[in-house]
Amino acid sequence: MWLRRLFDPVLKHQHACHCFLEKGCPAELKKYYEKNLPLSSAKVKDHKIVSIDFETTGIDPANDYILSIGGIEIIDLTIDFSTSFHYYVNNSAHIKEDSAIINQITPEILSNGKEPYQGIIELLDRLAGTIVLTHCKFIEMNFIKEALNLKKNAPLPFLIFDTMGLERSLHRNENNLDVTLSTIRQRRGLPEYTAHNALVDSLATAEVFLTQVKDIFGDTEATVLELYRRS
Amino acid sequence: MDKSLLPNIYEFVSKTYPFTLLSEFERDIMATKIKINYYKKDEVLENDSITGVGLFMIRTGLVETRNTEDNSLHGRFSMGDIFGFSLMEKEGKSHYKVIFLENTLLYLLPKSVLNYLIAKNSTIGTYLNSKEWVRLSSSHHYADEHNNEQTGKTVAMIASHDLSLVSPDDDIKKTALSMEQHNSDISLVMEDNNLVGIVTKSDITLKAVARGLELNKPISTIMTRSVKTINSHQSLFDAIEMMIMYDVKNLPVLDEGKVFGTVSTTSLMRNSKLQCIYLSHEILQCHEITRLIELSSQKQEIFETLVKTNVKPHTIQKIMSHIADNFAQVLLQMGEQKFGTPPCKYAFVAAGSQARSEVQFLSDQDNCIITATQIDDTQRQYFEQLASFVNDNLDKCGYPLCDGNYMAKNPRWLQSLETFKKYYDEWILNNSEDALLSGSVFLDMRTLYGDTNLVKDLREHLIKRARSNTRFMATLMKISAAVAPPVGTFRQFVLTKDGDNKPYLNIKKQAINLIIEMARLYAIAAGSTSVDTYERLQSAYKANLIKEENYKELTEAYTFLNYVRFNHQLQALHNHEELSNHIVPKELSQFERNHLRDAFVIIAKHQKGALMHFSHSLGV
Repeated sequence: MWLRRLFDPVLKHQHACHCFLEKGCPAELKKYYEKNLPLSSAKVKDHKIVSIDFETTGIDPANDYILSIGGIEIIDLTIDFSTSFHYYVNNSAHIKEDSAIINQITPEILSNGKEPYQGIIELLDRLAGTIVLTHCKFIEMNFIKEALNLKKNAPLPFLIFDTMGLERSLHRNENNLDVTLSTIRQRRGLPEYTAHNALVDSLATAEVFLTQVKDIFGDTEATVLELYRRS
Repeated sequence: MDKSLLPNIYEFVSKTYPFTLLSEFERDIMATKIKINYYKKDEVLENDSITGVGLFMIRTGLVETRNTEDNSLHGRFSMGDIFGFSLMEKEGKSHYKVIFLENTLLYLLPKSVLNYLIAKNSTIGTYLNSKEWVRLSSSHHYADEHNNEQTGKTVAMIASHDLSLVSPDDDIKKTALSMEQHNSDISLVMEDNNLVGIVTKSDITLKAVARGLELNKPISTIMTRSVKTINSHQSLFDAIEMMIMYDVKNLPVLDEGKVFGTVSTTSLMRNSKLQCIYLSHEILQCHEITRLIELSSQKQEIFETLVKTNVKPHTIQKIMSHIADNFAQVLLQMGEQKFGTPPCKYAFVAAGSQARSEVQFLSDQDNCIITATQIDDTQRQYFEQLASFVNDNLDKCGYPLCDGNYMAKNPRWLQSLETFKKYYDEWILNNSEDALLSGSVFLDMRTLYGDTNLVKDLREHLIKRARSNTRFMATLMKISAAVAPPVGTFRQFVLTKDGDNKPYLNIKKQAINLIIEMARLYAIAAGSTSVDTYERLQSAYKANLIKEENYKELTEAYTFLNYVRFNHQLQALHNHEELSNHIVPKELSQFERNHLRDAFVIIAKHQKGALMHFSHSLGV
């Protein structure tokens, strides 16, 4: 078993989640870790993928804060608008005025948002046991861990696909590849989204993902393992 | 969900016809139900992956559809285009397949949300119907359609109720006083609550005073008994059309058969910008060529007003035709005065579009003179003078001389009834395509001036001969179907059946004429002498040659094509460009593109059907 885990990162992550459930998992998070994750051999189209994006004040979870959370689901490799969600997170106490202007989000909007911990718990309700999609996975992962008071090396109860990693895997020989979301979209002939918020960016990420899946798999069936490995 | 979060999707969807017709709420619902797929170049979709799921909308990319049966081109679509209407109600097998020519981001509007919208919003409901003609019927809300609340004023709204009512036994003087009292130009003569006649101020002046009639005679002696009336729910344009057609200035308005009020030219002028009623009247009163030429400059303004006011294309054509008729008629009167009494009975006859009352701004003149008897050289000299006078002055009045010389001043088209009958017999018997092409203008005829029996006789002759000659009918249909409508427009091109891209659409040759020609053939087959395209299609339906649905399809397509044609001509007039029937696709709105495609599909389908119909009877 351990040998297979060595070569199968999905299995390895599933194992880490089990271990965490046994030791170190806060009681109120246990139900999330009890869920089974998709198998590495599973077909991607048979699983729900939730594309998410956070708007934050910066990239350091210790000093920066989540402003809003948006997401949309991909089912059968089709983005389904009716599954989209978006909410603000009440970190108004920490918001400096100048950063609020940049994000078009005012302290008033935020003060009507969800409490930070509750916001992340509600997100976990959607994500646990599924495949999560982000662009640059570390930002979202680290902010979630920070909000849940988890250690940096703790596993999260879902599999994660990363469009940034997938894009790099498709251009292995290019050293200075620009992997910002908007550049990737431009390169892939996707329409330009001028507005930016957590929901638009999660949609933009989901669209990029669909194009990458076609590039990687062509006519063959997309599997979880291959995408997880490249992410 | 707050739509400000997804401005791009909302904007794209809400700017795309037909979703522009949705309320904000409905648009929100729709936008939040969209599904997005991505396909690579060369991928193909068919059967249950596309049937019964919904409508497809291209966000970016390029798609071609091809018929499953013979792989022929069915359509080509790019950003903003919608396809899949006819797949919506299907299950399993699809009649065409979808081929991606470029990487494509494809939006799917699921059937469930479309069904919801159809239930909520009747306008979009008709648009989303899987039948082309129902979609086309949703494309317009003409000002002269009764059910249009915004622009369609009805006669009831402007009718005057201050009526001068008299009984048949009231004397002339009392009637005149009643008119004064009610400040009215007409008196309605009533008997037992029924309208039995009308009297106008000029009746009293001309029929009574001028002739020295005693003013205590009953009004019934001078009243007009066959009264033209209009229904209260009819539109102002119907009233205008009637006033032009019958050259009257007042119309009694009836509501469920009872007198409701009256409308006058003055009240119509107050309520619409149309001076066409007066133009017609002035043309007919005109005695000088120079004045007539002056008047003709108003044609453009009238055409522009009619198109801008969104009057039904059929009404526009009828009004423009009537004005054209008036010019010819007054010129013939002037001509007869100038050259003396005609040596024999004759008719000055409109051919082509004017015969069908389909004159539009571009129409040149097509006409002929038919004499009741064979004419000798002196008589011919008279008619040639008359014809040249009329043709040349019509040219000066903005009805250009015909390129093909299909005009009365051409000796070939100045002939006796017998000769014209022989022409028809030759065309029908010899059945040569050349002869038919050169003569087809004269397959439609309408008397503008003179003895109406001649054309009647000639048309009956034509129909009798043509109907019984299946080869002739088949040849005519074959000639017509040699021109196929385009498949659609695509980006800046017009896409032909063979997949070629053309820079422009000739809306007359590639679409409108094809319907006119089919309608003509069907009418002949139905034994109808009508020259109006709508009436012809109706007679074909009544004679069971085409189904009711076919009739609706063709009329809707025909109406829409003329709508597009007139609006583009209006645009050209505004930009001081030369008018033509050429439409450059980049000037088409998404709305027009979608509906033009529907019209083309209808034409192509009917060409196929008509070819079968007319060649079948050949026994081939």
